[in-house]
Amino acid sequence: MKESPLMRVAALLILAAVGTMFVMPLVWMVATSLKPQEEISTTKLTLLPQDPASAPRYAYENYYAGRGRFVDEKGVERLGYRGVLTSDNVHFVLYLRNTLVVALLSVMGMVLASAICAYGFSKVDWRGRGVVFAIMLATMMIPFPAVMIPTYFIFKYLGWIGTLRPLWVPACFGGAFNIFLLRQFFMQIPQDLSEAARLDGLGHWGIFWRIIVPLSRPALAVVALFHAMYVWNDYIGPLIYLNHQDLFTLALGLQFYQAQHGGTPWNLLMSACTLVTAPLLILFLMTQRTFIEGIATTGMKG
Amino acid sequence: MRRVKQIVKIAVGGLLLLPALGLIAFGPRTSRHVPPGRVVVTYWEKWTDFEGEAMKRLCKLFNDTAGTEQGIYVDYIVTTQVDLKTLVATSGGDAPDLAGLWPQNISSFAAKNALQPLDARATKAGIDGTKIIPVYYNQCRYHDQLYAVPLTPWSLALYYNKGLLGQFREELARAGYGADRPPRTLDELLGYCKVLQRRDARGDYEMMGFLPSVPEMVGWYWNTWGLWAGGTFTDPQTHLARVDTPEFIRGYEWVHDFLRMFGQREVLRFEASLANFNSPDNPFMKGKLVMAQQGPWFANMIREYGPDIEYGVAPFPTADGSEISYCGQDVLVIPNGAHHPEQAWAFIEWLYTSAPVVVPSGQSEPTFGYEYCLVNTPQGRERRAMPPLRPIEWICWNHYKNGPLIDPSPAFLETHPNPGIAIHERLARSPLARADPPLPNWFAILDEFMAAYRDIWAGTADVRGRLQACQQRIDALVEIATREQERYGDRYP
Amino acid sequence: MSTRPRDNLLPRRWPAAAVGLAWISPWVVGFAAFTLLPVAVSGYLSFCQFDGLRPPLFTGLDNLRTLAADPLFWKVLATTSVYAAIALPLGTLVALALAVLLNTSVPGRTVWRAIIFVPTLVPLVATAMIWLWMFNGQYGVLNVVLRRIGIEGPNWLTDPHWTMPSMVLLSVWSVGNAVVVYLAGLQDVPRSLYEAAHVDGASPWQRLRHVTLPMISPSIFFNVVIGIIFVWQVFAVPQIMIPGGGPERSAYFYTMYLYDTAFRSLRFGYACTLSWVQLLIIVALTALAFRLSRRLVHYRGVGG
Repeated sequence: MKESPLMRVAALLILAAVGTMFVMPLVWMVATSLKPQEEISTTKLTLLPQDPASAPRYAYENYYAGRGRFVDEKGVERLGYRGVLTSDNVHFVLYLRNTLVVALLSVMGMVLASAICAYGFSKVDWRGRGVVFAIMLATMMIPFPAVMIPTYFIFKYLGWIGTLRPLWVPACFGGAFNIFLLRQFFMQIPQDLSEAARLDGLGHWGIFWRIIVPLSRPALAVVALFHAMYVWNDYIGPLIYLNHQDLFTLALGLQFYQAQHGGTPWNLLMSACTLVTAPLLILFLMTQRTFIEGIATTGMKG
Repeated sequence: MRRVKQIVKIAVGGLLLLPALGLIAFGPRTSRHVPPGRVVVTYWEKWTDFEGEAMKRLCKLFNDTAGTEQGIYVDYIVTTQVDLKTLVATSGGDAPDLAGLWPQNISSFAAKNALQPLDARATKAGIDGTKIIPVYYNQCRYHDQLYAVPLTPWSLALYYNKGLLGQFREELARAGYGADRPPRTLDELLGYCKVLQRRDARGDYEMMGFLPSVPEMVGWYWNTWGLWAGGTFTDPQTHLARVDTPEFIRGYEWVHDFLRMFGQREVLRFEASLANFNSPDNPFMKGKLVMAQQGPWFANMIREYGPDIEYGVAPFPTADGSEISYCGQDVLVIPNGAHHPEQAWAFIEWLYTSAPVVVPSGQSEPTFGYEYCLVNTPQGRERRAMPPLRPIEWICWNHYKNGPLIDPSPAFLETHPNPGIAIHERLARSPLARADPPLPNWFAILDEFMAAYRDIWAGTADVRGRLQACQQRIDALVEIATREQERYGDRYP
Repeated sequence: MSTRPRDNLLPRRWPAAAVGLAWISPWVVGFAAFTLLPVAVSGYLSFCQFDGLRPPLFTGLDNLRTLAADPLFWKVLATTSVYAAIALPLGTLVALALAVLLNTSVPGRTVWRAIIFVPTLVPLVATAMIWLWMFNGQYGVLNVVLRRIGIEGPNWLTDPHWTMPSMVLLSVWSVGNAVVVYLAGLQDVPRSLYEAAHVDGASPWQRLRHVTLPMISPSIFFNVVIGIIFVWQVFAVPQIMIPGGGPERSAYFYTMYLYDTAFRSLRFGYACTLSWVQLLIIVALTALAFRLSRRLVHYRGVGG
């Protein structure tokens, strides 16, 4: 059934307007990151710097810029690094590494543990499975703030405050939401396949690795993707557990630009934001279908 | 086509993944370079910018000299909200070895058992009440124990623009004042302000003599008016906070008088048009305010933002003209649970007892405050080599602040970059030197007090009633704090 | 790992329940260590005075008495409720509207969908930073654009009247997730239903009201429940943009107060009381949503 042409035009106009509003902050983020400090505090509305030909140079200075003399906000000439990737007071690359370490360990642990648990909830028949599964779903409702304080003291007891461990170890026990997601997927895998494997002499462990895991790669990818995004986003965890700059993740470290010297260097801050956002956008463009479908299915089957 | 797409995806994925793995494997693991074989003293400090740079340089000097001999490396780490971070890290078992806090933190931290008492070490090193100016020394104590050591102290004074005073010479003389001297009493301050004003055609203020203000607006200190009127923060007998004494009421009625005299709406509009003091558009530098209530660092700001301003420093006006001062400082503490308290103390001891030093700037050219200083001579400003100073005096000098020592070295006073250094030093030694009291819940009390001040600043006429209501809230806070302390067998205050 | 006996970590004769539990043991252990134990400990601590440095002291109902008389608690409760009451319905409406638009045969649907979805990908910290810049009173794009069309924009984040609208506006920016979910729901609605409605002479509005909405009501319900749970946990973005809730604490949300009570004032006992209250509120609201859903949500196969 087709809409009338009038309605289609109206829909297009509305979408165009809304779309512009939705991308504007991101466009402005990139635009700001390509401007020099002097052109930030103006009320002019231009995407490119006044001298567009210099944009690559500004980009180089904001994003990279090596060692050398520079004139700071107060007009004092200083020696040191400048630019996001080489700044000598905001260690972007270090924060990036910390974030990646947490992401890698946490994603591996999360995917493996969640898959194992999901297998127990879908492919092993046992009494009480339904009840335990319902309990697990109910726990999804418990917000992190509710457990934040005692958890903090558990990690204190373990001597882990001020290390990256509190950020990834809990993930190695799986997450209710991801277990739920994978269970739904495993349920769709025909029981015949497992039965056939069992007749071939495989145990649960074998069936899990040889049948279930290979067949559910897309679902595992969705879990990995979503959890990586979660780690990339996590703010309150690092805020509570990390004290030392050398261990900061990107989410925490980015704030340093804001705190420096009162006057926020917006061009640098926006360069950093662009760098933090870009990998996710690239990931999204590459896996758009998986992404959208993942969200649609998790949202639908609740 | 599908294949091509797949290859592109794998390529892009690899481009993301490979650097990521490479970074994990070979990326930097720390932002600093600590020489191997040293005990690292983790030092959290609030200062960034030139103040932080000075402290960093001092740490470097220690690391290169005494630190090398003793096998200690002091690792200066800039920490935003350093007091909160220190407290939380201490409660989480991840305390730094050394932290640069505010004195108001000492009592609340010590009451929670978060700080190490320093008496034994301090006595042994001779860092005690005979060496340190009482107001600063006492502020480091809580329940008869020493929990901190002064780092850079200050005393509040009146900074005034001599040039602007000169422009109003005749008017001031007509009112019975002199352009060559600043006001001495609160009444005189009002009188000066009446003369020192400029309005534009619409009747809006372009310049005012002085402006009491709320903290996040123009000025910084709003809790001092009771002091200038002769009051103290605590009752001398009970040591409990009191803001409804006759002196406090008198002091805050002065603020109300000021508003009434200059028009509350006009004053607030003027205030809204001004930038905060800590900015290049500082109204004092822009000639929009003639006088300001500020500490010694203000000389540093003037050098930075208004080097051409001719200014003077004087004790702040008080109700009866006596020299009252409000003092504060930055302090060093060693938290409970610090991994290397001995080494942290070694650094503190070095600050106070080392032979005088010259701190190299590390720049290719001689730098002010490091390699050279300026001294006023009859012939004008003369450039001289920086005299060797004890480390503790050097850092105060470099922050333009007065020092904590009862007997400062002559070179410290003689070459000090703040022209008001003598005033600041004298004020710190005044028998009427005041400071924030060592109450564990002082910040909560200040919050209540500030709410009252806001109402007064918004034009509440009944100053007495507002302060009395505030006192009731404070009493409730005191009751809670007393109960909480007593549960642990401790006392309040 | 191909030989038979070693593949069976658990012998077959083990009871099925043991095998099942063994498989889900990671979650069981994690749940016990990081949820059950903390919730229980939090329950105990909520009746204690505890600063993390000295051992906790049991104080009975003291914290609850403090809570009842704590003006800030009631303020953040009100602030968060107002935010939830505006942001949640508004977000749902905008998401639904966008999903309905995207479900028409408008050109470039996937592109529009991607554009609307992209903001949800931006990390929260970056979101906060970007909007801090957008909302800047002097040089922020928002006010610059407004000035162009002759409106003097407010100081979004420093004027106590505008902090809350700013936060709501920001929440609308990231409705992409909900849009995608609703869109998937809409695409599942059988064409035949629309055609039948068309034959019956239903107007577009009637089709929306009587066909579309009932058919995707499970998605709406799911999103509302998730929304309730999340809206009470709003933290990172306002914490970065306006720590302490901004001027007059006008946008001071529940979790921010909880965080400040615990990790700024070190009143861990009282903070646990706050966290339990939060948990109870979320459970109560979710239960309420489930009750309402019986009347409002249409599950396929139940007729109509």
